Order: sequence, then C-alpha cells, then structure tokens
Amino acid sequence: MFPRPFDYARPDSVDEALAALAANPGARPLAGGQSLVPMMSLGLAAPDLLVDLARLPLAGSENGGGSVRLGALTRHRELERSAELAARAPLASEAARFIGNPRVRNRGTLGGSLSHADPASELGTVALAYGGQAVIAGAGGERTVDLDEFFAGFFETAVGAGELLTAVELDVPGAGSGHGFHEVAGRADDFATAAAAAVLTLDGTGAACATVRLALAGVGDRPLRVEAGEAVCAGAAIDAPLLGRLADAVADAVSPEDDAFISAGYRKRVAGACAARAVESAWTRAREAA
Amino acid sequence: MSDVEVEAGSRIVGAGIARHDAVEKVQGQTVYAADFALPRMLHAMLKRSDYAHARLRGVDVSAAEAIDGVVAVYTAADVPQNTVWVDVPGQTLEVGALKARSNVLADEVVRYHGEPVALVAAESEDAALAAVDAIVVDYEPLPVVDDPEHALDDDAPDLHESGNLLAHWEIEEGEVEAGFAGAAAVVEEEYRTQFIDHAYLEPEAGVAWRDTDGVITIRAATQVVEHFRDVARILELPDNKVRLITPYVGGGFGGKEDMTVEPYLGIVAALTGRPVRMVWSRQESLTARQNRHAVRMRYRTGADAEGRLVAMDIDILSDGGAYALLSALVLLYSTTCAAGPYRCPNVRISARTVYTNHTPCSAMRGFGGMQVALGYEGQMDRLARELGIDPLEIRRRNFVERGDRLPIGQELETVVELPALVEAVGERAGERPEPSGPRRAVGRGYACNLQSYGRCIWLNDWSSAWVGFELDGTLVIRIAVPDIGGGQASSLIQIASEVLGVPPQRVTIHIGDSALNPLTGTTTATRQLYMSGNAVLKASRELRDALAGVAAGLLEVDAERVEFGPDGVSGGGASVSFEKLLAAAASVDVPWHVLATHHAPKGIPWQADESWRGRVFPDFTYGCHAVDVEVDLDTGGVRLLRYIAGHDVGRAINPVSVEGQIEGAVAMGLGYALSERIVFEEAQNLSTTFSQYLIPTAVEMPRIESLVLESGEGMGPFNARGIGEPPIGPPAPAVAAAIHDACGVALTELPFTPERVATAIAVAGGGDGAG
Repeated sequence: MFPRPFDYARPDSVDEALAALAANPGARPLAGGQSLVPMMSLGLAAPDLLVDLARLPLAGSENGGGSVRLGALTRHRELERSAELAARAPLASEAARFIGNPRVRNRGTLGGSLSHADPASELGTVALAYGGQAVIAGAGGERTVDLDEFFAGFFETAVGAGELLTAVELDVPGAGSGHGFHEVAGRADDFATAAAAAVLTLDGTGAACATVRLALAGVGDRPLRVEAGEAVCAGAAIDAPLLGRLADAVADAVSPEDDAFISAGYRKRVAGACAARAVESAWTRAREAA
Repeated sequence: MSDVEVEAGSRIVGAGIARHDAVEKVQGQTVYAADFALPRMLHAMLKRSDYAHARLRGVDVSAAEAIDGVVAVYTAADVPQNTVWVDVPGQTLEVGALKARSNVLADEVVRYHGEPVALVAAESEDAALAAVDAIVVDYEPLPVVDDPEHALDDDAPDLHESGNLLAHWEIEEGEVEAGFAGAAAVVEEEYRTQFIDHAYLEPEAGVAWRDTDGVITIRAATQVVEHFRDVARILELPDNKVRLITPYVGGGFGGKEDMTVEPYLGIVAALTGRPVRMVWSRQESLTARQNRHAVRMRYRTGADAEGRLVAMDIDILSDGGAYALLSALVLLYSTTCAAGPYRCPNVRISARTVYTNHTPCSAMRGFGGMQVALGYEGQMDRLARELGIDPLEIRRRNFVERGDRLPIGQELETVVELPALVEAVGERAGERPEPSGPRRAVGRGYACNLQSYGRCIWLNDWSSAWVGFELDGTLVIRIAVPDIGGGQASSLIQIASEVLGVPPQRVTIHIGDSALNPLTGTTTATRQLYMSGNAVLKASRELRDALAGVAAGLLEVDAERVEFGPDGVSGGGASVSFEKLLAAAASVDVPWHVLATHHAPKGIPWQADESWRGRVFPDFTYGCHAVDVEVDLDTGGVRLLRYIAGHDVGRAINPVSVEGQIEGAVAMGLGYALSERIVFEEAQNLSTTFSQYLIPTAVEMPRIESLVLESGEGMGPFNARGIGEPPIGPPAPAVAAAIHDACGVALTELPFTPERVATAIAVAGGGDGAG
C-alpha cells in the first residue's frame, strides 16, 4: 500500500508532455490516476516518472455531423452528468454510471480509462459499440486509429511508447436507433463480471433491426465486439426467442478464463444475459424513438 | 459533547440521546491511534512471510540495517520472550490443557502467508519500507495443509508438535439414535461457511514510548487494555511496567481482541528507548490478521409429525488456521449454540477445530455462535418443507423457554421472548413485494437465533469503575473500558447520570487506560454494557447512598426522600447545591467518589472432561429476523429489498445505540451472506484489497428496520441484555430461506454469490417455475 519513489512532472502542453514521455522509457502519463495510482500502491506499477496531464487542454467535447469528439481528459462525471452529452452519446452517459463509485468518476478520465484498457472497462464497450476514431498524438504529430483496432491485447492499446491518446471521435447514429447497456458486478463499485453495450439501428420499415454493434467487457483479454451476437440480430425483429439465441451465441463466442473468484462458465452465462438485456433496451429505445 | 438538553427529572436511561463522542468524530477531531505522534518518533514495519508454510533457512537483515535512517531490525532471536501464550480454557490439545501458543516473530518455521518474520524501526516510513524490502529471507517451502478434513489424515504434515487437532468438544444427551428411529421426518444437510475479515474502518495502529519510571506505554487501537500483561511477558518486564492506553477505536468486531501492533510497539520502545509508531496498511490487515473461522457443519435433524424436534446429530469441523489463538473458545460457542434456540431431548454434538496453513482464525462478532445459525435454521426450514408446516410455526413449536437446559447443560434463567418476536416480525413484514420485471423472483426468509452475552462463567469475570463528583457538581467516571465505536463509554455516562441526576453533558468519562483507570475487562463477548454498566451502576448507587445520608442531614429529611437533580439535591421543599453538599460530605469524612466492582455470576468450574455439563454463559439474547429478496434468475444476483430485525434487549439504555448495533450487525451479516470471503489458493491469500474482498456498500443495503422489544429481563444494568453480537447470526440463514422462497433452490455454502445462486438455479432447471 505504499508506492515506490518516483519523479513527477506537470507539463503545460501536449508537446511538452510528449517530450517528457519520450525522454524517459520509465515514464507514465497520469490522468485521473484511478487505475495507475492504486497499481503503484499495490506494487503492480513502479514508474520512474509520472507525467501529470492535468494542465493539458484535452477536456471538453465537440459535435461533428454524425460524430461526437470527446477530449481525452473528459471525466467520467462529465459523461454521466452532462445533459448535452446524454443527448448526443447517451450510451456513454449510461455506461459511465457503472464506473467505480462517485469518487472514481469525479477524477477518472475517458482517455485514461481507454489507454489503461482494462478488460472490464465500461467505456471500452462504449467506444466499440459506437465505433469511430481514436486520436493519438506523438512526436510526428497526430494520427487516427479506428476504434475497432484500438484495443490490442491485455492492457495493451494502439497507443505506442511516447504517444498520448488525446481525443476520441464516436460515431453516433441518428434517428431510428437506440442504445442499451447492462452490467453485472459482485457489488456496486466492483469490476464488471460482464458488461454489454449495444447500439441498434432499425431498418427502413422500423419493424426490424438493420444492424447492431455489440461490445462486451469482462469476458476476454480486452473489451471486445461480439460479431456472432451482432449477426443474430441483424435483419431480425427482436423478441424473446431471439434474445435467447443471442445470449447463447454470445456465451459461446466469448472465452473468459477462470479466476479465483469467478469461473469462466459463469462469466459466459452472464455475458449472454448482459448482451440480451443491452440489445433488448436498445431495441425498445429505437422503437420508441422511431 | 451532545447538545441534547435533558429536562430535570426526566429519565436518562432509555433516552436516545446523541453520544458524547459523536460530534468530535464527525468533525474528524478524534485522535485515533494512528493520528498520534511524538517527537523523535520512529516508524516500525513488519517483514511478512511470502509463504504459507516454509522453513526459514536464514533471515539476512544486513542490507536492511545498512539503509540510511534504519535504527533497528529485529528477528525472533531479539525478542526477549518470543512466545505468546493465550490462556484459553477449553479442551485444547496444545501444550497441556489451557494454553495456546504463537510467536511474536516467526521462529524456524512460518505457518501462514503474512506471518511476521522481522521487525524494522526507522527514522522515516520510507526508510522502514526500504528496509523491509531489503531483508532477504531464505525459505525452504514445506507442504501446505489447506483442507481441514485432510489436516486430520495420517499423511498430513503436523503443523505443531501436538498434531493438527487443535481442540474438540463432544456432547451427547438423551438417546440420539432412538430419537431418530421415532422421527416422522429426518433431514440431513452439510453447510459450509467461509473465512471473512472484520474490515473495520480503522486498521491496526498505535504509538509507544518509554515513560517516566521506565514504564513502557502503548497507545494503540485494541479491545483489550489487559494486553499490557502479555506485552510485559514478551519484554520480560513486571506487569506494572507496561501500560496500555486505548483511545477511541475505529471498530473492533473481535479483530482487535488478540494483540495486533502491541508487541511490536513494545519491543521497539523498550529496546531502542525511542517513541515509535506502527500502522498496518489495509493490505496487511486483509492479508495477515486473524479471520472468522470457516466451518463445515453436518446436521441431521429429526422431528415428529407435528414438527417437534426429537433428535439432532451435529458434526462441526472448523478451520482454526495456523495458530491456536482463541479457536478453542470459539468452538465452545459453536458447540453451545449448535442446536439453536430449540428444545430437543436427544442431541449429539461433535465439534473439532484443526490447524491448517490458513491465516489464524480467532474472535469475530458472533464468535462461533453465529456460523451454526446457518445450520440450525437451515434445518428448521427443511423440516418445515418436509412436513408442510409454516416456517415460523415450526419454530414456535420448538422454542426453548425459561428453565430449559441447552445440550451443554446450561439452564436458561431469563425469559425467552422468541414467540413475541416472531409475532412482531411476522406482522411488520406484511405483504410480499412484487418482482421488478421478468426473470426476477421475490422471496421472503426468516431466521431466529440465540447468542450469549458476557464471558464464560469460569473466567470469574469482573469489572471495576470509579465514579466521583468534582467540586462544581460535575461528575467524573474513570474506567479502563475500550470504546470501539459501540457507545461503550456513552452508555456508562447515561447510567451514572440516571442515578446521580447530573445531566450527561456534565459527566466526563476517562476510558481505556490500564494504569490510571480501574480495570474493567475486555470489550469483547458483548460484555461491556453488561459488566461495566453494572459496575458503574453499583458505584453510582453507592455514591448516591453515601451522599444522600449527608444530604438528609442538610435537608432535614429521610435519606430515601433525597432527590438528586442537575444542580444538587432536594427534599422536603428545600434544596442544596452539589458544592455545599460536597463540602458537608468532606466535613464528615464521606468521600466524593466510589470505586465499585461487579462480579459475574458463578457456575460449576469447567473441567477438561467430556462429561462436564453446566453453565457456560451468564445469559443469552434472542432474535428473529425477516428479509425480502429479489433474485435475478439469469445472473443469480440477489437484491435485498427489505430487512426487519427483532431482538429482546431487556432494556434499551440508549435506543439509538441499540438500533446502531442491530443495523451494523445486520449489514455485516448480509455481507457474510452474499459477498464477503477471503479466497485462498494453496493457502495464499488472494483477497488482499477491498476490490477483491467485497464488503457491501450503501447501494446494496436495504432499509433495516429494528424491532426492539424490552422484556425487562436481562443481567445488565436496568435489566439490559447485550446486543453487540447477537444480530449478526440471523442474516445468512434468513437470506438462504428467502432465496429458496424466491426460486426454489436451497443454498448451503456461504457466501451466496451470484455465481452460486445462478448455478443452483441452472441445476434446478432454470428457475422457470419460480414464484
């Protein structure tokens, strides 16, 4: 419960932050600190240098045509509470309520959460269910990465050494769509046993689903899209038997591992239930909005 | 100090006034153990074992000693007397009959993950931490014993010279097999409970220094100021050269009943002569401090066609962990309470506790009396289903009554109000709620229990208190009681105020100091209100009687007619201030204070003999609880909707404190029921943070309604019964019954995690037929 000694820098610009990160391979960026600091206290991380991003102008959001750009330092609390974001990216608002507890949400940031890439990350499922682009800054300037390619493995992302995630552009669907989120956890602020996020778009008739983007957390080495589940829904009207098939398909498609607290089999079952409930909510909302 | 004004002449006992310590606590001004500091203070930390069972081939402290700022590094050889003896009456097999042994620092062998191996003292916390890291321990791993059943096998390695059976109790009353032969229904089940942590707000902490006259003084969070004697033995000092002060403690629940930081603080203060502070991190606390015993219980219970119990056969196996501590006594509580608050003519109980390489288990709220509630209440529900009798009705037909004897031979001397509690709780529960949606099912469960208050009779428990006036008419109570957050001190203020008329705001209580205050015994075993309350009551009454005699002369009335009020005494239409009364008392050699001692009742002295029968405890507190739950049939999640907890407390000295104890114990019991567990893998503790060890939050807790019944019978002051531990027993069996009621699955292993519930539902066919 005691971090090892480290140095600390608080740059004023993205360029200074990138320079500090590039100059020291043992440096780690510090955003809200809600994952990194506990890991340091537990001895799971021992950075030589913390580059505090607090002064960087990376908070705030902008609306594009079919997208919302969210700065990397947007706090979970902002996602949860902003009426404007709730209208534009309601899945992000709904999912944010399941992150940690109010203390965590007051400090934790979108960019920090995505860059940390916890397999149980709620916001990871949001990024995948909406889709869009991650904006990554490095010594050579900015580049964008498709959010489907962002999560690279266990606590690994497309953000390379010496780079920073600076913003996320979420593709938000227009009329005739709906979102859903469902999470099961051992306790209110516990990590998700499984969580599912869905964004569903109705077809032209309004009586069937055209496409669903379905993302799961807690059931793999990273937040992941479950295309086998999406395929069950595509082109179909969502009803109880379909939701049953969806749950089975998702349970079959994911391959969590046993741990000392929860078995893989139970996580698969919960993944299926979460997916079915998320899609059911998305369907209901899309139909109500239509 | 409370701002509650109490009118002259109103009763203080029975008033739900705010505690005198409440405002300072909510303002963050209370100086808890870790908040205290002294000049030139050192910082102490422990090097703990990475292995659950290993031989120590070597402990190299040279690199640690070389670190700048490190003042001392101690290993077992440096401790004057490294062996700690816990005096545990009970059928222990460890070193004779009556003593349980553990080590201050591991010597030759480590027997659990986190066992202290070396002690570091440094000028700064950073230097101490670096020194702990720099100690090199050469371990030779030994085979781990992590299954209590296996611990008793011939091929299991012996963890102690005496073997792995730590203690056992055997009871057989009546003709058990004949009883079963005549039963209309027999139900048989195995129940399992888990290890849990006390998880108090305040981790273990303290500061020690060498005071005037060489007295090693330790100011630490503890439930037991009498540990000054244990520290004296470790330091090979006379008992009167160690003093223990306990400030207000941020929760104990039994976790600060055994020593925690005290010996290490004493060692550093004595050997360096410097003040020293030690604060355990939450991770240390969760990893290496004693737990609640995990217990495997096999119950076979028979009843006649009307549901009256005819036979019980109970086998209990508890995992005591690596050292004995209080396991033998905890097992005695399990044995005493194993049949529950029910009358049964033929009972066999076999109870054993064994050594394993798990963290040592010891005291925790309920102290062995609570695990068995899952068993005896589960059996009552099974019998009710088997015989088609309402679960409350079958209990009603079997409750013990005053005059009955428990299987261990104890006669129940006070009224058993369980029928009234069942009635009140059933009535309050009312209609069942509706499920919140599809694939959800709602259910209700009930559970009753008994739990002792007061220490074992043969410990000859006593409690002393000093009550005295100051010249301005304020009152002082001196008593070494540790206040661990249950209102131990404030209840004593109310009692003295009730008798002597001085308003609570004008009473000051000095607590928790083994040198300056009369010793009053441990804040454990639900005994402080009962014992210290009686001591303060006795002292207050004796003081009142003495001063009333003086006042009678001043007022020219009979002593019985003297009234004690906020400002003085009155009678016969006249009044005299306390100032004048005290001056008059001094002039006739009547002191302004009284030191009084209350002694617990006596019984047949315990003997290390299986045929021993007799009174174990002073008395019991009884309860009946009800819970409504909603089960998610797909995920197995259990949502608590509503909770009702009824107890007969004899007399509520402070109803707000009583409700606080009930609500707190219920919350703790619900965590035990649903989510809390220490998870070991090969005796390595894997649940060392609160992100793995899941105590419930406010989000999970339902509304808890306390139903406080005051029978007017109890052995505490003003006929109060103890309420600190009793409400923790019923939550787990009540939740088990509610889950069964909701979806038809009978769970037997705690905690009832979503996974276990979902698995049981799947096995039973998916819960489709649930109602």
